[in-house]
Amino acid sequence: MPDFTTAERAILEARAARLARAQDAEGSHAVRDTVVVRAGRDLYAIDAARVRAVGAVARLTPIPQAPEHVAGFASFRGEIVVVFHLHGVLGLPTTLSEHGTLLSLDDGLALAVDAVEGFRSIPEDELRPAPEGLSSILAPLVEAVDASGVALLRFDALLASERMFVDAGRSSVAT
Amino acid sequence: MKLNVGTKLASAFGALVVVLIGLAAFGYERDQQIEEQIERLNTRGVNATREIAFASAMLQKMRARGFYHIASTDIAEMTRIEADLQGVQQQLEDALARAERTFDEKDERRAKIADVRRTFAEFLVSRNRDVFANSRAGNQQLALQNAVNLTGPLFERAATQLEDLVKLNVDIAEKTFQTTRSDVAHARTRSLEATGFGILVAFVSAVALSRSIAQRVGSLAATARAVRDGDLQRRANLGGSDEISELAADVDEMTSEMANRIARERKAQEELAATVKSYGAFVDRVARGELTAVLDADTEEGELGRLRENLGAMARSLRTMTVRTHEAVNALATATAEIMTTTQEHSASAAESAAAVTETVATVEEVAQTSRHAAERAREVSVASRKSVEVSDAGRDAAERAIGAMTKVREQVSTIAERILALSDQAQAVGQIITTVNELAEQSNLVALNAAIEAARAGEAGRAFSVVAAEIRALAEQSKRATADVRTILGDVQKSTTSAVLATEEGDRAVSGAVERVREAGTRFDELAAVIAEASEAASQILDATQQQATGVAQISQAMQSINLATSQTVEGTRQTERAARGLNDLSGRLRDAVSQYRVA
Repeated sequence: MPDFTTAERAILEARAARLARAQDAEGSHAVRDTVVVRAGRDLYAIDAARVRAVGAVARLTPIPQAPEHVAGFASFRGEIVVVFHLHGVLGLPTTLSEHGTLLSLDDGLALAVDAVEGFRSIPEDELRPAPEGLSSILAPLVEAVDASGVALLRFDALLASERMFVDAGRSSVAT
Repeated sequence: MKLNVGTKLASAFGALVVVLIGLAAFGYERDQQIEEQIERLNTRGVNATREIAFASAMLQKMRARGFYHIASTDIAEMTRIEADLQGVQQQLEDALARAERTFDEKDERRAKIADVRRTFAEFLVSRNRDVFANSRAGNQQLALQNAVNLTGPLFERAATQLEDLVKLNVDIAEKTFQTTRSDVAHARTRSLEATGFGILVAFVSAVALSRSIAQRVGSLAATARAVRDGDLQRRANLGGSDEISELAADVDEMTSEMANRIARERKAQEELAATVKSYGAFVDRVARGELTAVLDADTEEGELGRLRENLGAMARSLRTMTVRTHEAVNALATATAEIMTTTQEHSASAAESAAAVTETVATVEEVAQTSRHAAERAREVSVASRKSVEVSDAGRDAAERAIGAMTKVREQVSTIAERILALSDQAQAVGQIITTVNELAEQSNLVALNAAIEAARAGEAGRAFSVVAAEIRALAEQSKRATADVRTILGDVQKSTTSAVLATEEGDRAVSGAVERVREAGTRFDELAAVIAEASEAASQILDATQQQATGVAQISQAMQSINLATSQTVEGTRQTERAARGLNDLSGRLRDAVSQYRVA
């Protein structure tokens, strides 16, 4: 075995451990692929299978008379989507900046977040139940919390939330 | 005839002279004869023999040429030999003639020469006829036969006659030589005899003259010595009739007269002695100081009388003089005392003056020393100021060099500042690039994220694709981190460049300030150089002045030395004067004592 310094050896060992862990995860198949987003100071995980794409926020066209959690219309990959502030949807104060990221969902919906932290596969056994004491709006939306405190959102519940609707008069856009 | 001393001397020397003249005449006559015989010997013996020998040689030469004639076949050669023979024949005949001339008319040798001539004539005739004629005719054989048989005997006879003549001549010369030698011996004997006779005559004359003159003169001299020694009664009484006898008589007479005169003189002397004694007594009294003494009554006449009067007058004069001397001595003593007082005062003041001069000399010496020190200091200052000028020049040069260096530094600083600014610009460009890269990374991240989402939506089918997406996302993350790092580094770089630009500006300002200060220093150096040059000039002037001062002080010192010497001499002179005055005082005292010995009243 060639000579390695202590630092090099530590790097090699860490790499070996990581490879072993990946095999374990692959072996169990019990993971949840999620997209982690940031809204304000909090991180939320959304089921990746339900997300169509992510992209930079293009020019938002505000909708007159709309509630504040509705950011407006935007053009995303040649489609007009209705953009909602995730923060607003979650019942938290809306502080979305112009440079935020757009999370495109199915059915012409999109969520505006402060930033997309990345793609994460969360093992099932790492998930913990949602803590007690969440707000009445938030409590039904959070499915679980992982070890690092990222809240896994119930996507269906989120879509079912009344805040994800826009009353556009007679011609309703939302489903 | 009267035989006085002159006659006797004349007769004796006359006899000697007669003998010597006879001797000389005899010698001269013999010498004449001998010389004549030697001359004859030379002429008839040597010369005649030489001539005959020469004639014989010529004869031999003629015979030899005769054989040349026979041997020759050339007519011209024969003619030349005959002409040559004519010359030889002439020489032979001349030699015979010269030999003949040396002999007397009746000499037998003349006959012999005549014989030779006859034989020679026969020889010539025979030769011309029997030999040369045949030779010319080309008949050499006959000519040779004739030369041997006819001419040869004639030649032999002539040669024999010449030899006989030589032999005869030598015999005669031998005889003449023998005769001459006996004559010379005879003459020497005669000369010795005559000389002996002359010596005898001289001796006899000397004895006779001594008897006649010297003995009598000796007797007269003895008488004169006796008279000189006081025997006035002694007389010579020599007999005879010559000058010596007359002289002796005169001497006797003179002696008698002298005896009479001496007796008279003695008597007069006794009288004179008495008078002189009385005068002596008078002079003795005067000498003892009795100037009042007088001489006895006038008894003498003439010189002695005058002497007596003079002595009296002298005594009177002495008395008068002594009185006056006495007065003069008193005056002298008073004056001397005054002189002494004055001289002592003078001496004291001269001594003071000498002391003062000595002090002054010492002071002047000190001043001279000080001025020498000052001159040395001034020289040192001059040297130092010259060095200072050099130093200030060097400083000015250094300042100029420093200004040059500073200017270069400022240029370099400016260059550095420009480069740093350029670097800053480039860093900004890099920042822009980094921003672009960052955006790219951002978009890559989004793409990767979307890929992952697509993979997740694909379910199991997208599982492998999700791994690629994760890798791409990781790359995008790394790019973002790297760009963040680069941005941080760029921020540091920009801060550094800003501070560097600031630093270069400060450096530029500092260099400008330094240049200004160095320029000021250069100006200061110039001013300093000017000041030092002035100081150097001043130091040179001070040096000159101090040197002049030193020279002046040295002159003063020399002058003071002279004054000191003069003062010493003055003091010495004053002391001498004092001593002289004291001596004068003593002298006047002694004079008074001496004068007081003379009684004048």
